[in-house]
Amino acid sequence: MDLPNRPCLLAFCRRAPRFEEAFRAELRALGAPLFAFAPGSGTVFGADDEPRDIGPHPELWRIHGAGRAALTVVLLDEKQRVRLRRDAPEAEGTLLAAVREAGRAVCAAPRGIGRRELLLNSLAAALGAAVLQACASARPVDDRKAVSGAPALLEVSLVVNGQRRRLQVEPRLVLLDALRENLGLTGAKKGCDMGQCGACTVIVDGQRVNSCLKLVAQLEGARVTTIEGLVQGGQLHPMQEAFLREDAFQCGYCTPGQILSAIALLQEGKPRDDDEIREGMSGNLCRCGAYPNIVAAIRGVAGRA
Amino acid sequence: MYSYEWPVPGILYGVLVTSNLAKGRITAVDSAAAEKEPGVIAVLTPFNAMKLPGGAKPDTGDRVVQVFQDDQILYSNQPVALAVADTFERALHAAALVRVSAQPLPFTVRMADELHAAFPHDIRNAAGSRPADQLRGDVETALRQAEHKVEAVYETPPETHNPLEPHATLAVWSGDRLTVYDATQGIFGVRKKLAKAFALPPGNVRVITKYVGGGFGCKGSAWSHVVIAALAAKQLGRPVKIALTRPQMFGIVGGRPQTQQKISLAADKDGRLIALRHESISTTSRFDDFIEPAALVSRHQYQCENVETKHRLVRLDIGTPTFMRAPGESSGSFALESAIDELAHELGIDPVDFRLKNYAETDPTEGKPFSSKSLRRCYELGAERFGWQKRTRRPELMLRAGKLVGTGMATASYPANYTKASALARMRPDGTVLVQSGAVDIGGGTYTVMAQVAAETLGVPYEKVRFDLGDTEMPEAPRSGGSTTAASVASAVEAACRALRQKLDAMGGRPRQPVEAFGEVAPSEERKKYALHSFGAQFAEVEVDPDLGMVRVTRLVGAFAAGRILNATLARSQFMGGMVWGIGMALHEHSVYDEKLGRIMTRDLADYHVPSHKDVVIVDPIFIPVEKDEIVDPAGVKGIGEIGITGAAAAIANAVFNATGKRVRALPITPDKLL
Amino acid sequence: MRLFTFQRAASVDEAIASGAGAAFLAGGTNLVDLMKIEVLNPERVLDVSRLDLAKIELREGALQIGALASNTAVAEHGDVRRAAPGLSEALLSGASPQLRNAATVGGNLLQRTRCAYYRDLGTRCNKREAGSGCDALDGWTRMHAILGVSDKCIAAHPSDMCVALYALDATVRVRGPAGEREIPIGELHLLPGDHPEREFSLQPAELITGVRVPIDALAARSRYVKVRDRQSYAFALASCAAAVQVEGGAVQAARFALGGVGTKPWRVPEAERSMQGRPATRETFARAAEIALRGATPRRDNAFKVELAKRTAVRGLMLSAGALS
Ligand SMILES: Cc1cc2nc3c(=O)[nH]c(=O)nc-3n(C[C@H](O)[C@H](O)[C@H](O)COP(=O)(O)OP(=O)(O)OC[C@H]3O[C@@H](n4cnc5c(N)ncnc54)[C@H](O)[C@@H]3O)c2cc1C
Ligand code: FES
Ligand code: FES
Repeated sequence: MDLPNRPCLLAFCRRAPRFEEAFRAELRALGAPLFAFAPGSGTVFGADDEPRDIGPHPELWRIHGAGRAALTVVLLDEKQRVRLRRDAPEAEGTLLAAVREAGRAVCAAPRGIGRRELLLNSLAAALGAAVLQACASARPVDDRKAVSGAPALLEVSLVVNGQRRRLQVEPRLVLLDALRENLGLTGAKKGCDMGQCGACTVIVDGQRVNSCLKLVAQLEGARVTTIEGLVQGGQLHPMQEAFLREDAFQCGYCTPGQILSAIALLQEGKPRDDDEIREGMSGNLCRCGAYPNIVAAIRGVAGRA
Repeated sequence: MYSYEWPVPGILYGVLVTSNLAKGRITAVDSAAAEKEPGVIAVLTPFNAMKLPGGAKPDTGDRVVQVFQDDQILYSNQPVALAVADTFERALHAAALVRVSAQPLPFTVRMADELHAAFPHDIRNAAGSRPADQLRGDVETALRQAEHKVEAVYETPPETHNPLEPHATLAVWSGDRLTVYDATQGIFGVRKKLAKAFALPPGNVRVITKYVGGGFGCKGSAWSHVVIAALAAKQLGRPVKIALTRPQMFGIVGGRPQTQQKISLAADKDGRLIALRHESISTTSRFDDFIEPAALVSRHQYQCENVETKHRLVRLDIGTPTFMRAPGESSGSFALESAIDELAHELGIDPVDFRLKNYAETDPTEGKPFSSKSLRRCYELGAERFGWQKRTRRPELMLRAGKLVGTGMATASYPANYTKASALARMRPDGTVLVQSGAVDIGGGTYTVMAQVAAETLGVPYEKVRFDLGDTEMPEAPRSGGSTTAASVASAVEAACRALRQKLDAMGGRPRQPVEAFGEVAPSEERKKYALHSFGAQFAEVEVDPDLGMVRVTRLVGAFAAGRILNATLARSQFMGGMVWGIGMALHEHSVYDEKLGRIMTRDLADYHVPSHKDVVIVDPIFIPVEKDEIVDPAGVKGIGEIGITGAAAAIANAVFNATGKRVRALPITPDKLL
Repeated sequence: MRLFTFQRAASVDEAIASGAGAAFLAGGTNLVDLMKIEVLNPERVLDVSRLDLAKIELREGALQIGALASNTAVAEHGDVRRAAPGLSEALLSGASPQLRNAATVGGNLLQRTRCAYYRDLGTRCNKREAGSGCDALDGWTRMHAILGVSDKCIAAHPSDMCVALYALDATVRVRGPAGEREIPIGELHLLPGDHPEREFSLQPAELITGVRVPIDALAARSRYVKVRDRQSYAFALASCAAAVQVEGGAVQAARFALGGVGTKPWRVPEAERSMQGRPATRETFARAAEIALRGATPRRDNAFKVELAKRTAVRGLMLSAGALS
């Protein structure tokens, strides 16, 4: 079925809903069409038109995993990407409440640019709330206290590989995810996400740390060096060269962490023997077992330094 | 670029919710709290996930997956829902908020509970299909009459691969075409599974895998999360990526099954083996079959007239185990090579001499000649490198800086597998060459080695050749497992390059237009007439704290013969990696179940120990650079990725015996076992 | 991780003033870890890591160590190595260099157990959720405690540093709304008893400001021995911090504490007294170890710890007494 290239709502109801005039008025205010499906039938409620029969479209039920809850609502954006998908135990009241709430939000906001996004956001928020309301009356909701409302974002500014980077982050964001997902620096790897492997090792203010356990919020003003920051003027860092020379990696996943850890190790003081290198590197696991070559690489650099 | 890292606009983050119960039926999933969180797009569950058009049932030989198509919980930590949000942190938290209600059902994860229902199961793997049981001669009588006997049960625990890169899948739909970036060892297997699930022609599914952060077998199959990522992306109409958390690596994506192996071994007074029985029981899940072929090694390792091997499977309520570095040979060689050591000790014969006395010149089971076998040379080289001659036989207190020192050795072996593979070679007018094959590089250096093979075959400088892999748009290659990649892909690359060379020669040199040639190879009939294995000898030295039971492997020397070595540096690293795994297997690794919960409790890298830097002192692999073998495959290459672990655990356990007089027959050898 | 409010304390006073109901964040290696897996779920996190509490000095016959001194800084400090080598060894035997760089003394004192059940929301745990039950009791107990256990909790105390501080008779300095006080370290950690969820004797908003380690000839002889499943980067199966002073072949004074085996670091004064005046031999130490382990209640998987702890104690005592090379 062809969906319009503007935001629209899909509702899959286990029993055919009775949408009344009041509902259509709400939809009109909103300006987003509603495609309502019940087993064996499909109707589109436009803003102005009379309801129009469009057939049952079983493929949409399948794609959106509908049919097992009394109501499944899906909010699509103009590119027909799902912005929200929710199941609810009751159809008509929920939908009406959601559409009404969204309509109000849209009307209250100034018209003009960004209306499409506004519409989508309002609809998403309202649908979410209405469905939750419906769920709450149907069954007990989890009693955990969730932080309500939009999260307060923190402004943090870091110097990453010599460049000042400003981030707006939730307080729960850790440095590793900030580097990989927010800044696109995927050199630091996630092996365990709990301090147990060392793949995420980076250097913060001169010290190697596990970036998976460092809240970005805590790092205002910190200087962070990742593997991406080692190459200077197209020249590999001597430790990188040593790793290449000694074939000190196999799959390469632990390698950025090993290299940064090794650089820090040598900055901390010269290891007296191989066993000191091993002990000093013990926070970096290598599942491929490249250890002897890693130690050789570090020994080589230490020897020349 | 590892699979989770491909930049894709509008990506959504999926985090799996997994079951706490080991068995049951899901009655409800409460996602209300999760959905209330900012940025949460959806929570997919068995109650709202789309039905897969092609169903969830796998083709034969493929893994059974749990992808929200029914309400069953079949093992602890099984995926039961997926939280999807616009950032990872949000999805992770949403996943934690999802409440799953389920009706529990009785279960067991204890091998002992199900031994009564053990059943024979054939062995099917990269080397073909073999019967579960095999008997030659009269083992019973030989055992009864023997003067020197060892009969013991050896146990290897369940283990978990834990590649450092967690499994990850990124799925992008464009209409009815699906592109998946997956951390896999076999892109064509992933394609097949997804095409089946979504009822698409295979050509509509493209799988891309440029780098994999370690595989070791667990990434050899397309597990649940792969299908779930594609399902979520389809249902939500947006690209979705899922990475397993470290605790989710325990159960969903396989592991080495537990084995219990009984070995009965007898020799005459001259130290000739007269009977060998190896009975292995391994575990699998209720819903899928994986057999750890642990007794296979006893079919080929030593000359003996009376040999019986048996394989039994036991079903438990666990996730399906799978191939893990040298499946069968690693666990099996621990049992066999420990027993051999026990018997050698009892006979008062040096362990190397004992093995030489029972050297198999032809394959003892089928009487076939070996395509090549240089094990004798491996014993020699290894013993010399290690300084085996200096060894004292009796386990007696040999102290060095307050530690007991002991040495031990074992034989290593692994089948030389080889399967169908293809490659494409193209030369451009500027003389540069691009060679492609849909293999993956899981850390073995496929990129480098294949470029090198191509350069050599074509007679062009290495710098002119680029080898590319990891895309189902390329010619098909086998999954990177069972040590097949080097042999198969190298042969295909050689074939393609030879064909290209011919074309070029016919054209008289450098082409004006790009010229390409295709090469395909498959196992020959000739191969079937031979026994095909790599061999090696492992020598270990350990230090044991006499009071505290801590063991340190101070030296591990392995001498290997594995056909033609394509790249000495990379080969050394592969052998070394396998040997380090041997240290882990011997001393550390154990996925421990809480039997009452049916749940693995060593669910992270702090509780599931793998060797750290400090546990690996001297690991010294040496190898015969060219073991000539024209049978095994056109390139004359035997795999090298797995043999390094075989025999290693036994060599270490034998060294511990030599140091302490204590024979540990259940791995891992942790301090408590030596008190 | 749940959403929370993040604040940074500009001063110790400010930290205390707004500390009630908040979790103090130092190195984060334990707190952030546990927040990620939603075992700890503070609504407010108060960053104290920039407070001026990182000094390490030898003053008034004691090592005065600021609560925010990193584990690395303490372990590497010259005075610590000289005056209390056992403390340095204990710290260096813990975690990894990266973690020790971030980890602080205060955070180490309050680090939570590594009990696999405590860390797994799919199981029941009285410490994590009061009164919910304990799946460890009849579960996989290899890493669990044999001393100080109750029928509600057998979680082992994980810290190495604390074991040394116990043996060294350290005191913990804290400041709270009611002012400053010193807590003998043995009273900082609570036994699980009927309330394993109560772990520390701290009052709300009390901030650890430092640790005081009295320095004497005994402390200078302190050593640390740790037995674990791999050579590094693993928690203790058993450990011992010991300090023995020998004169003319006889034990003048001796103290030792055990790690990895108790629900808190374990010290038994009677065991220490038993060595007084006896020859500094294996037999003397073995008897002390025997006494220390009296009353151990092992379970299926950790029965070995009784013997292992004794041997570890003997090793520690021998080492400190100089009876081993
Ligand atoms: C993989 C891994 C392995 C480890 N191995 C070992 C080991 O072998 N041996 C070992 O001993 N430890 C080990 N640790 C634990 C490590 O030592 C602790 O995580 C660390 O010491 C905690 O210090 P922190 O500053 O990071 O504390 P945080 O995580 O910041 O805080 C921990 C707790 O202390 C509280 N807190 C912190 N500072 C103060 C203060 N000044 N006043 C009051 N409350 C405060 C916090 O609120 C929180 O409850 C390991 C940790 C990991 C992740
Ligand atoms: S990802 Fe940070 S230590 Fe493993
Ligand atoms: S190279 Fe693969 S984990 Fe180290």
